[in-house]
Amino acid sequence: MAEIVATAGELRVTRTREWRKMWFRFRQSNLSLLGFGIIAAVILAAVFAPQLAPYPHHAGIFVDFDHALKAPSAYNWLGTDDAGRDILSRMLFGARISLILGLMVLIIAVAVGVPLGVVAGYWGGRAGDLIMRVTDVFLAVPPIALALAVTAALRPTLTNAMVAIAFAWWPWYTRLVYGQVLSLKEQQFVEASRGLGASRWRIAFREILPNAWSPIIVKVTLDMGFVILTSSGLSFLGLGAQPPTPEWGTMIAEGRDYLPGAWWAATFPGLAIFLTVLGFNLLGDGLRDVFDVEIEQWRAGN
Amino acid sequence: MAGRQLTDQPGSRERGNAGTRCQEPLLSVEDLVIHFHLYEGLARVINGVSLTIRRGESVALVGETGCGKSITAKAILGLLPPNAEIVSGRIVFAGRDLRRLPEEALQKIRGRKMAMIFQDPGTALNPVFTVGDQLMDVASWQGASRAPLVRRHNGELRRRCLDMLRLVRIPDPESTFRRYPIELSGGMRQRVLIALALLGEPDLLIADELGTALDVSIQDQILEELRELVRTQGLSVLYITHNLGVARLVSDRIYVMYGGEIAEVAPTAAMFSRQLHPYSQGLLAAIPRLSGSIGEGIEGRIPDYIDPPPACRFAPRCPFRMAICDQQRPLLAASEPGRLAACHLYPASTRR
Amino acid sequence: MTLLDARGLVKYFPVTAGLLRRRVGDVKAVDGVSLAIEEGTTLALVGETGSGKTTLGRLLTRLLTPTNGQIVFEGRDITGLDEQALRPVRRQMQMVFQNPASSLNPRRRVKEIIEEPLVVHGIGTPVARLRQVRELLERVALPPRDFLFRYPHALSGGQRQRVAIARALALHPRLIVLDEPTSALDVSVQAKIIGLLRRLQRELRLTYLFISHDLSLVRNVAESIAVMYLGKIVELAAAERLFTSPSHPYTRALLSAIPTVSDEEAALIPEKIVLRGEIPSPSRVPPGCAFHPRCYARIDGCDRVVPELITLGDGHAARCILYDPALGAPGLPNVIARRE
Repeated sequence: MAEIVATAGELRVTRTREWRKMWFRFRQSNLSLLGFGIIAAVILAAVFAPQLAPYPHHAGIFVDFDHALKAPSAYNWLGTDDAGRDILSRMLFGARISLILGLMVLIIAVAVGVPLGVVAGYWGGRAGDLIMRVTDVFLAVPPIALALAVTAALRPTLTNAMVAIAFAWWPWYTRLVYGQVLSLKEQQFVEASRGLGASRWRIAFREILPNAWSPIIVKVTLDMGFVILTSSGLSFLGLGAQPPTPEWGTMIAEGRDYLPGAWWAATFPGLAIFLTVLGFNLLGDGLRDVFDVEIEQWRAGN
Repeated sequence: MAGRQLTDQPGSRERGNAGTRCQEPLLSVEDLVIHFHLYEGLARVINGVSLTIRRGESVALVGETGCGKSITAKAILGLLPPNAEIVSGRIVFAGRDLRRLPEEALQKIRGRKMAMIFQDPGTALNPVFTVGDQLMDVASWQGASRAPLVRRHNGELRRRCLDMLRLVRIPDPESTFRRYPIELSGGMRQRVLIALALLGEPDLLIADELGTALDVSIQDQILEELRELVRTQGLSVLYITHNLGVARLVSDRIYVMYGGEIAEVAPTAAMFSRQLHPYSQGLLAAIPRLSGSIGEGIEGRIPDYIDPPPACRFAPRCPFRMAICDQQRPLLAASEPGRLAACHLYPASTRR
Repeated sequence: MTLLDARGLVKYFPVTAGLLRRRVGDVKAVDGVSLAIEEGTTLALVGETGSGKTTLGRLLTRLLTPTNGQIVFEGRDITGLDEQALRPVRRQMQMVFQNPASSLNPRRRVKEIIEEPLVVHGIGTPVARLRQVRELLERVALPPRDFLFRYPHALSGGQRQRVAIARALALHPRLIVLDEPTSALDVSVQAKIIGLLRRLQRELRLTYLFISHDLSLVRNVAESIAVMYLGKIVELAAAERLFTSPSHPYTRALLSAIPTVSDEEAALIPEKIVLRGEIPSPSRVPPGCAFHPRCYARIDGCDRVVPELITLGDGHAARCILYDPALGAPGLPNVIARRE
């Protein structure tokens, strides 16, 4: 028993050391840190929206035409929209919506796309061909167009928008994982496992897949930004979140009519989207650099 | 801290001789010290390496993985990674200190006066261009013929590339010219790589583990041909290798490297008949013998460059370890004429 | 006792061309190989690119299915068994691969790598397995304290191979196929790994099939050596005999190309023979004797007749018509030309 505890302790020490090393490498790039900072801020904003927002009730149904379209001031740091609602408060709650939506979409996309990619890559054969041809069909259509078509067919709600985007997004993961699995399955450690008598399921999911996670994680991070962009686009067109939901795209749509006079109504939500997408991109790039170094070092036999 | 070498080879200091420029070494690396900035700390990898190559001489730099031989080669070519720092030392090529030269001047030397033959013929050639394209490409920006006008005449360049292919004994150069690397065998590709290196009419060739990816008989053949070519063209070669058999075949002099330092230097025949440094002895003993014996190998591991042994870097693994080996770094000194060793077993290496 | 007996093994890989992927030819990787390995001994397979030695190794461990032929392991015919039936057999035969960097899963720690065979076959509890992994690490001279949780990229080449060997030992196999186990290692590390392998063979009464291109290495490792060329065994002999009386022209050429480190060594091998041309692709094997286009001792008939493996006595056989009794068995000119 004691040796188990000792072993677990050794493992913990080793793991901590490894995390520290990765963080150190990540820290090397200022842009990565910037991305990390932006996303951390967005997440904090989303989590603590009720506490941070000066007028949390403005995020829901609220009307105050006396204070409609007020310029940014001490009372409303980012101004108010055409219904008199505080833009800052709505943006903070909008962060929640965007992040949750992004997360849900990608969870579905990964849960569907990755196993399909593994099966297609490792087993191949007719099933693999079928999976990849279906994937190809989906990939031929730009995601936003596909998502548009689906939401237009269904009732325009936030949930349906989420389903539609996930529907458009999973094939990219299948394609990514398929390529990874194809090259990984030629590696000798796969052969070694076969030599041990491991079953194909075990090899595919417990040997090969862990080696494919790095590009998947990087892609998920980069995709968050684009998914949020897509959902905002749908909302902007009226096909996603509906008013009065404080989704950033919807806010832009609502504020668009008042440009350039009351520029703040459309501009700040737009900036929010811009910063969030930028943040995820920088973070994703930073992660990729960290992961790639590890892979390269391993390959160089260092 | 860096050991001072007393002399590298007999006669190398006779620079005053009029008309004997061939006495002056083509390449002289002097007390090179290179540190690497790693996450774990500062790795003092190259710890005072000196070597010289005369014109027309073939020198082998022999050592095992992690000894720093590839890093030394990269330093000579100016191709060190960004986290490497050349702390001190000189790299003098044809009389010019390469460390003091600006990047443009270095580029003129690299590839032209000094050329590298790459290791892995599988990946060193670009798969989407034909052999001919790659040769012509290199030839044109090498200014392969000194006359600048010629650069514009593709016919002249092409002929020169074909001549080069012939020189490296590629049968049917015309058709090989049109082929893609993937259509060629490993041996052919290696020959193309040699041709590429020779296009710039270099004075010094650096061959890094030449032929290790090939079958032994092909490697043997190519090395023999290269040796002949080098002799007729009067080139100097630095062979980087871990294989003593290869070193024996192609070199006039051997430098044995361990732990970022030179352990021993000797003419090839002398090195194989008798080794001075315990590491060289261990290395040779580990080679499987046709008579049916194989050595023990050498105990221990290569030194941790971040926390290296205080004096002699081989001491922890040395069967002849003495007290002084942990106190004073042995100098690379001439223990007998024409041979250098860095070991306290030889009085010349110990400072009084 | 003969542990492994292979008869007439053939492995062809189809070459396809065109849109409909029609079969236009075969890569004759292994083309009629018979061999037997005695328990507790080491048989070496030696050859260059395209010789088929690697494919043969995989056929014998049933990582590939033979196109033809028979494999009898421990008295049991394992040629046609499916994966399910093979599982218990796999416990008795394991493989160590050439490139330690890629034969270990880079995302797994040493403990998990060595433990895997036990987990796959459902052996023992986690605690018992941990104990076994520790024992295995000690057996291969890697202190468990330092190595249990490392990733492969934090290990040196020699250490990785030790882990691969420990993994191969986990199921207590009887036969271990070693495919160029030391080719990627430095010579001093190689010497230690070979020492380890020999010690393990003695202690655990293992049988080895040692695949290599390095003749001077196998001289020190194997009791018998089989030289392969384009899918066939061209010479088979006890180790010492192969070096003192190499009979097949290819064997002699291989021996002559060994880079030697002393004049005494050089005196033990034939005068340097440079073979014409390069090894043909196994998809275009020359007619008759596969070696004839490059052979310096070629005679009339070599391009038409496929020679049998002819016994020369005492477990020594060579595949060359120069030893055919029907032709008077002229043998090769000069038994062995010593270098002066």
